[in-house]
Amino acid sequence: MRQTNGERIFSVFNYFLMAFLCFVMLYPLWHVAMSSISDPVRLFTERGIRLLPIGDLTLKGYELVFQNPNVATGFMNTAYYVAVRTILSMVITVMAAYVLSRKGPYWNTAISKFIIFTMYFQGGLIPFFLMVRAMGLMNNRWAIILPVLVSTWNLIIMRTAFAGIPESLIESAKIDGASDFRIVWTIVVPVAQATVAVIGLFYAVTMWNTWFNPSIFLTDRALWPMQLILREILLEHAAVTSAQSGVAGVTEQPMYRMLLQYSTIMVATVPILLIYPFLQKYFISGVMIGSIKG
Amino acid sequence: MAFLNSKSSSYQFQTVNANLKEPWLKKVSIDWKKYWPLYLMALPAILFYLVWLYGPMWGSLIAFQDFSIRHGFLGSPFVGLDNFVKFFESPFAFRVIRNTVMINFWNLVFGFTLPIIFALLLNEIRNKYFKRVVQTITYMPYFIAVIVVAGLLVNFTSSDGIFSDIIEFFGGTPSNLLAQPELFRTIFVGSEIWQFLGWNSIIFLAALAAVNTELYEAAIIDGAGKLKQIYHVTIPGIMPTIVILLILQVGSIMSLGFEKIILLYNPLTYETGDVISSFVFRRGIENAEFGFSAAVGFFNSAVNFAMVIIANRISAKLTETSLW
Amino acid sequence: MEGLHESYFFKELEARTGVRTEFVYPPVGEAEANFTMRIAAHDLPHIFVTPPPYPGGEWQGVVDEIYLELTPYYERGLMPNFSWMRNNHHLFAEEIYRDTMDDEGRIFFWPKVDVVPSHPWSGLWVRTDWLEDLGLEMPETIDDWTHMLRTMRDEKDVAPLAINIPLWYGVAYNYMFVSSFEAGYDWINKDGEVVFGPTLPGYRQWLELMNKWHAEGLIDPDFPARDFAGYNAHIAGGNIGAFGLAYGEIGPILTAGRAIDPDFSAEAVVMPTSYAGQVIRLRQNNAIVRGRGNREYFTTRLVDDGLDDIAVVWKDYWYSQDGGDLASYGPEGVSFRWLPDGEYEWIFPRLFDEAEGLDFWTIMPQFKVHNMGYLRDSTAYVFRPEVFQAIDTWATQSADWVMPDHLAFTPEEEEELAGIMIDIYTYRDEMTLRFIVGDEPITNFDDFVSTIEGMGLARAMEIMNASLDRYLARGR
Repeated sequence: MRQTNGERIFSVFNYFLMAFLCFVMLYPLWHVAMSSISDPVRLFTERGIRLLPIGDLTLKGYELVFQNPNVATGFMNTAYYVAVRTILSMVITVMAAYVLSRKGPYWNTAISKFIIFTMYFQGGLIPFFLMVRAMGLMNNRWAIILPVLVSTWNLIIMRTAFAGIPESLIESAKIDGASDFRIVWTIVVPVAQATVAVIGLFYAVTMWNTWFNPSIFLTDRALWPMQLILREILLEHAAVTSAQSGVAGVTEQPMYRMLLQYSTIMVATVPILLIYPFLQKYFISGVMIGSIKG
Repeated sequence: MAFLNSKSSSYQFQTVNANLKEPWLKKVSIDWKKYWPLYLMALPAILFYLVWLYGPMWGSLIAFQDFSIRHGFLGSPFVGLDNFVKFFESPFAFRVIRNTVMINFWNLVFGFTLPIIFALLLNEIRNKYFKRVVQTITYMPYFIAVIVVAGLLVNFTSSDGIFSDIIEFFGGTPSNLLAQPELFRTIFVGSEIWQFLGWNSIIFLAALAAVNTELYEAAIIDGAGKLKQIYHVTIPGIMPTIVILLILQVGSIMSLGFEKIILLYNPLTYETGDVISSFVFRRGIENAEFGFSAAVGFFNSAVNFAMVIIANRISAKLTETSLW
Repeated sequence: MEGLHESYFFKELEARTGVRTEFVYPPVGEAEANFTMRIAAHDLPHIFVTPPPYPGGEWQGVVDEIYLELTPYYERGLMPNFSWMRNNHHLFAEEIYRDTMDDEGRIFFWPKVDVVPSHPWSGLWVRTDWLEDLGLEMPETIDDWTHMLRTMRDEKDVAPLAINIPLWYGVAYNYMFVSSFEAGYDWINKDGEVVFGPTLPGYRQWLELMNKWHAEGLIDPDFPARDFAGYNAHIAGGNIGAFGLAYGEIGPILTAGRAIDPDFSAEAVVMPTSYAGQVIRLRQNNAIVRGRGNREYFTTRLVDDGLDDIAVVWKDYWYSQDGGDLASYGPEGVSFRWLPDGEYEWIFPRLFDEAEGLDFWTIMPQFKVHNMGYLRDSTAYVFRPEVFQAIDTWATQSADWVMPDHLAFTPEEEEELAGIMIDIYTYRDEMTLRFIVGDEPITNFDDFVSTIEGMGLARAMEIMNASLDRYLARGR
């Protein structure tokens, strides 16, 4: 494909810009990674840009994390929560988004308003807590999954994407006798796969990061997700919790405090970072639409 | 003839009449017959909202109560607007509201537009491998905990930090940047962009992927260069996404979490950096005043909601897209 | 160890009393949310150990039938040790008596009582190796300080003083330098009358001093923005000659500092005087009866489960000589042993395990208790020598004007006070820093005072004074 001179200059500029952004964006994670294997004593005093680990390399930070017996169960729990939640949420959200993206149904506007209103007015923590309790979900895994099944924001975005699918595709399928349900899964989702993949990512990531709801609903540590375990490790730096240490963070092995902060972040973040590249293949340009139309 | 005329005219009259007076019930039942599979598909979501969002919604009324957690909603007295008055009485109320709105406003101007531009630019990268790498790296900052980002920022902005080094290089005097209220918003919004540019662009990249390639081909055939393609095909293609997200963002104008603010501000920058949530946080630390914080939350929600309604109406008039 | 109840202390306690206990922990950092939820759902444990503040004040907890009032049990004679401590302790009976009840004489919490008094944990420090290098003496007056800081600045080419305002560990809240001018950052108790420190003329003098030092480059220019870790790091980094610090942090700072400069050493120093013959009356202080972060509350669930009498007697044991010793030192022969001269030494094996490298504070939960209600020997810990020196040094000055820890307010008073003070505190924090860095000329000090007065200071003072009067009136 021939490029004009202007386009070529722009292209070069673009590549440089992207490379620069990459460096600036990569730096925080790099900083954390390097710090997580640095000498804890020097970590205490060294400030400034860090391109390499400081002092003697140590894996003590990771040791401290993994020697906690709850970390393994934490990971398993998180895997469970993320998988179950993403699947359920996607099914419900996709269906609802499809319905709301159709122009026909009389009640759609009312339902949309009904849903959007909740983005602005909520009950707050205590009523929410009492609700979970009333449903008998205390100390139950479903307390983490059910109350957050649908995110209005995600629903709206998906609705927008579905509304953008050419009517003709759906019409022709209907003529062929397909039910709405089938249409959703065989046509709508594949055509809007980029957005669907992204929303799936959003649901998965929010579940990955969740720690607050588990902290108020799950008393049994065997049910805790990894983020909460890590948070506890970080805030406490002991296998047993704070009731015994008293005076806030005064001398609890503060040498390792900073190191631990970095290693817990690495453990909490790196796994999820590895997922994104797998989703990128869904972001290919709209080849689908063209081919189906033909 | 008269007989025919009168008959035809009365027929017309009858038809018009029928349209006006067609019972709403009939319309609804036709709608139901036609669309019941759709309503069924939407049912799980509707139930979800009913139970988990409308169920607890009575809590927003705590704003009007002298709430005691011991006695709960039914046992706590209503005090009308007292809690709201308590907030607005403070000489700092206006300031924290202003700061909240200003920071969110700049965040909207830059934090909303830059991811779009970034997505457009990234879309133009031909090398698939490079593109993927850039995508992955740029969304990493999203995952870094606020504490770390704030720590880095405090570090960089100190008088011996890297920003001061750069300033000195260009002939200025090094100083602590977080001690200067004029700079707080810039630093704060800048760090938000740094952290969220990649993540926020994901949704636009997805929208870009959905633009029909045939439209591009048609444009090229018509002799359109890159810029014209972007103007006539790309942007209109992702416009619904942009508009919806913009409306939603406008609806967050009063919402600004305190976590990052608390980590970055200090009394010297209260003038520009103290926002509603940080102010309430400082007040509420020892007091657990539920009614008060509920009132502030209610006020925020009400303003946000009003903004969304306005934005939605404008959008519905100007473009074809709207939230409802 | 799964929970505290498995420690040697609790095992021994169970052996002696026949009562088993179990601990349940909220997630670290989420104690407040957890506490609130439990109250909302009326899902109570038998005892709350160091709970967050109860909404509406601690007495409200009793009114709400969450906390259990102990006065009836006390009057029935079920708390003999607690009673002895309040009435017969040879040194501190009066103070203990006053601080274990509220204004109406009601008892409803189990506090930690330091019969070997607890010491100030925060104050001023100076780099003694720098003093040696520069041929300086430990500063005693404000002028000494000015001279010392200037010398440090000139010879070491740094801004030598590290301070923090307005955080809890900072110099202002802990009366450093501001005590030299007989003012304070918050309320002070000037001989029975409560005044607000920042409105006193001495506060202006303090601001002038800090402003002068700041202008001369004697104070760390980044001081407004340094966070907790950054502050410690800066000190350890070696560019600071004097600083305000809590003694708990000196350990890591010395370790880290010596990794860079092996000569790094610091010692605590008393508050300087601003005129000859001045008696300093303000310093960080801990009362004999410790505050909310060191208390336990019984709940009404004990009554529901029929365990209230047992629990009271059981808890009272912690205030006996034997019980208190057990809590302070752990079981004899396991964690410590008596020496012939009446002293004691630690013998718990894990403390000496070099390979583990754990310090006393991390290991001690295994055999003694720290933040619970009991009769405590507050020196029953392993401290670095610097810490002992700091404690002894700072304790030589009096804390007469420090507000008592245990004032009580009605919920209405508390609410009113909170509403007034949030604005005053915000304004004070902001203006103090502005005065110090020079963004605001000190000539505006009078406007500063009148603005504070306009925010309702008089009413706040009224409330505070009423509370102090009630407090002082508690007596036998």
